[in-house]
Amino acid sequence: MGVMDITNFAHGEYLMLSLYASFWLFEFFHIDPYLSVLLVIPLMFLLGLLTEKFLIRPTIGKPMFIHIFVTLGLSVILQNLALLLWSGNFRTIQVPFATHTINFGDISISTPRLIIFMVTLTVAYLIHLFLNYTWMGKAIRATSQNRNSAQLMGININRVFMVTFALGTACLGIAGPLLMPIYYVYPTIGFQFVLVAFVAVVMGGLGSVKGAVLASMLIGIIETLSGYFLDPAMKQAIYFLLFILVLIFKPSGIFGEEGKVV
Amino acid sequence: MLEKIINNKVKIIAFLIFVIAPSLLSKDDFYAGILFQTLLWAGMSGTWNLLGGYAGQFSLGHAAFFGIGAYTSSLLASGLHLTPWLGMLAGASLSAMVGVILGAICFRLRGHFFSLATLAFGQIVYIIALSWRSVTNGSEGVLIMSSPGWSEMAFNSKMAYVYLALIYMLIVVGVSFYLDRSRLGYFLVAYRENDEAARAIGVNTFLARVIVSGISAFLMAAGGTLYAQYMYYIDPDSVLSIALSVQAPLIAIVGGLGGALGPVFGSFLILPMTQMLRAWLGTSFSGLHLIIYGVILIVVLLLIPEGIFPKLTEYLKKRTEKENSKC
Amino acid sequence: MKKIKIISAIVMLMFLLTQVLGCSGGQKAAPVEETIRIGTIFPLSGPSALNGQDTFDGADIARELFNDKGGINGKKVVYVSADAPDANAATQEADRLISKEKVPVILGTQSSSLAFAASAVAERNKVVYWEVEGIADNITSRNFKYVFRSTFSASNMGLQMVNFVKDVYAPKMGKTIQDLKIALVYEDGAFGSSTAKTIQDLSKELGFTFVKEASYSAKSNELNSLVIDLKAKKPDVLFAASYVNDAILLSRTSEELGFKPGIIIGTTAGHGTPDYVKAMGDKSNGVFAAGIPNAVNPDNMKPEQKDLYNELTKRYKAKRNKDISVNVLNGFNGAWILLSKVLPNAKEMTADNIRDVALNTTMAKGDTVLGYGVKFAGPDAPNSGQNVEAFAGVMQWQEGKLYTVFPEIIALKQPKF
Repeated sequence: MGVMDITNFAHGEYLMLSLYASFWLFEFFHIDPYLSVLLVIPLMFLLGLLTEKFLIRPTIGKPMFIHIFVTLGLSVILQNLALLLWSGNFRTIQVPFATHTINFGDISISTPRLIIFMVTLTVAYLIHLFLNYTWMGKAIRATSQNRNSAQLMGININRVFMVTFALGTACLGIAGPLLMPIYYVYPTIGFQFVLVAFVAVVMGGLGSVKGAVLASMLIGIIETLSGYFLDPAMKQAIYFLLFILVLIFKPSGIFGEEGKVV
Repeated sequence: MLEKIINNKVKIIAFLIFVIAPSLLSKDDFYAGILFQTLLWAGMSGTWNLLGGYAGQFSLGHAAFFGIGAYTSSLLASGLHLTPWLGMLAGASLSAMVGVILGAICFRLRGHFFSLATLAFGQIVYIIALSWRSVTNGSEGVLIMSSPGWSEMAFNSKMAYVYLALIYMLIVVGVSFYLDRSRLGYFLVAYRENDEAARAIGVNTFLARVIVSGISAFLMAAGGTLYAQYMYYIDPDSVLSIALSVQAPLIAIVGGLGGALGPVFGSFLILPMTQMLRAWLGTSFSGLHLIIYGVILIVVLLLIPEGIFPKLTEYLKKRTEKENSKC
Repeated sequence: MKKIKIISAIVMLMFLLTQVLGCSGGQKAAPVEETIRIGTIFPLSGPSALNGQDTFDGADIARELFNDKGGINGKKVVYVSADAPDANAATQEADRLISKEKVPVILGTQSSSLAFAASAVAERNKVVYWEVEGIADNITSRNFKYVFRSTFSASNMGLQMVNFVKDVYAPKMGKTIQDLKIALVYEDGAFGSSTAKTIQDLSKELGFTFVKEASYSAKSNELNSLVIDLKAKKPDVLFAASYVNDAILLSRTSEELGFKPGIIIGTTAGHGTPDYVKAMGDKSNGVFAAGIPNAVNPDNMKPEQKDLYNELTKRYKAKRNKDISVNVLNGFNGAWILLSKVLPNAKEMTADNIRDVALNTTMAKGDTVLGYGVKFAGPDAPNSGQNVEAFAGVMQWQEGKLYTVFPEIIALKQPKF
């Protein structure tokens, strides 16, 4: 989003597809979700490439709202395709480790959640390395800073966009299988994640991986604390409010670099 | 030349009325219902367009204003037996205030950031309506139980609602026409096209946007009251959902942004289409009608990003020019 | 000028085309004269699609079965069905069914907010509205003349949940109800809030001690803070008015964080569904769910009802290849009452005739698949149109199956604590 200046409202639906992919792999072939990551990632990467090529590319250079509504249309299609193909049932898988916990004295930590946490950090670090130390990564950063000059430097912008977008969906290919043991999937599940994701990305500072990770943790803490001390129903209102405040007072994001104002 | 364009617009309005007229005459509640929704949405989308189209301030939180209007009049009616006509005024005024404040706070944001901030604002209002149970009745919603009559803004005949919605739409179109040829409107367009240049020549685009934000919120809330009176029942999901916030700009985009008639066109294309698709395919394959809707949407957006109405007028303009040169 | 005319003609054509499409869609489903047409409105897409489809399937199987048994004097019943994912759509579809399809009765809608919207339209147009599943109290408390509800109301379900604690659990634990610590969590939709409200009102009358009352959004993706707080309060009884996804989330989070209340009493909308037991496996044993009684066990039905029930399960299995859920059962039962007891006795298929017959229809306890009888509150009684004989039951998961344990008259097993 930061790189391409694209707000993808269908992001949640890609998570939904990724969850379904790991669900069906488990249901039909009994592939452990932690293994199915290896299959789901390339699948989601490919899907990302195709979406970018056929739906996002044509919107680039057009007014910004076009892509918002194209992705919204896509999200409607994907949700209802899932409903049509797989019905509205709440699909869950049962694996013995789903509710396994590790205890440190009084504190108990859910193992699958701990794994998600570790993997997220690792992936974030890998993306960080990728962006800073590979040619493609540098091209992506250059493009996000100034599209025109990047093009002048001989960077193939179309390829950069394609890879960036596909990387985004591939990350969902990791998230889906990791979430599946503790979660469930149904056609409209994506929506509850997509808004939080926007909030996290903007709060963290667009295009900043470190910022997004820190912001997500902050949101998690705010959610839990406000849910505990106030009313669980109000917790979302609190972080949306915080989101607006951040946008207004520090548009570069809480953890974003100063001067990189958008 | 200008006269020609205006002339064309008049013709188009005449044809629109021509299309509406047969339905107005039919006593059929189903078509009356569709017509009501279409006119209401033409008005609502036009209201959104005042800000989103003219100033390019792309709000994704207009459901909040709609909901404020619907809730204020309904709660006043069910709690204090206040007539919805006054409730409509109260709701619209409250909403205008909120619109001005929100505008004053958020108008320093540009592009996506304004959209996302308004999206978040819409969600906050939705959550408040859900959680503030003692006042809003939470998700159980508010039932409007009034006996039909003009003073209660409740009618047995759907046609009464259709006329109300028609008046509503005409008011919104009127305001848009006013913006088309007033300083206020020029200020907005100046902001959209080049804010720095506008400010350099001393145009206060900020104030202009705040004023129009108030007007837009006011009119949106009035639409909310109409809707509540038509439905007899509102809950947070039906008047405050993101779907509403999204549909208003969508209609305007499909029809054409930044003009008075674009949203009207968009509404007359989209609303009947979605309803017919649902009526036609809704139960044979669940979700199929929405898939088709999504596909049509994407195709239209990619092929005619500037909107159908501007495309049409452009075409007509070329056409008349050709005819003139022939003469 | 010519072009303008052409374009306007195209616009008009589109408009007319859509109108024609709308008509032909309806007429296709309705060869006239030989059939009796009933409208149905259920959410078949959108977030409630699962429950909506189940309820519709149940109602549709009732129709097929009824037609197979000969229909009404040889006339078959057909449904003119509509999809209503939200309240707005429910209103429009009700309009369509009434004014375009001219149905005298509409069967619906699964969700309470859809029922509010659709029934208001039906009442305005003097068409019978037959609610089979939405349980919010104010569907019938508006005292509409043409609205009937075959199933119980939220307050009845709340009553059974509270009674179960008062009459069974408290004595079993050797505690008075004042000693018991009660917690109540509910999703903040119409279903959860109205169920919670009746539980709160009744419990306060009886003098329960509440240690925690909290609502949450059924769409939320984490309930950690709620469960942490619940764990600290150590309740004996946890009432949970949840839907499926949040019931699963609540139970899984409780498991992770080591929260174990004395007993959990959910509802058949969440804790009593097949998806819940699939998600929780053995962990679901012991969990209670209030709602539609006799949910999956036909053992103590009258023979006639048992046949119906077996036929329903068989046909549903053939249709969807899965076991019936309580929604299927509820849809079936509500439709069956309408088709087999009300419509055949109506002189003509007009709304007023159907309404008169419905008001005079009575069925004894045990004469429906769900065990309860039928008697609709009259137009002057409170909650007019409510089936006053309908009652909720309390079930418990035992060895992966849901057994009715309360009230005693319909209980199949003893509750295990």
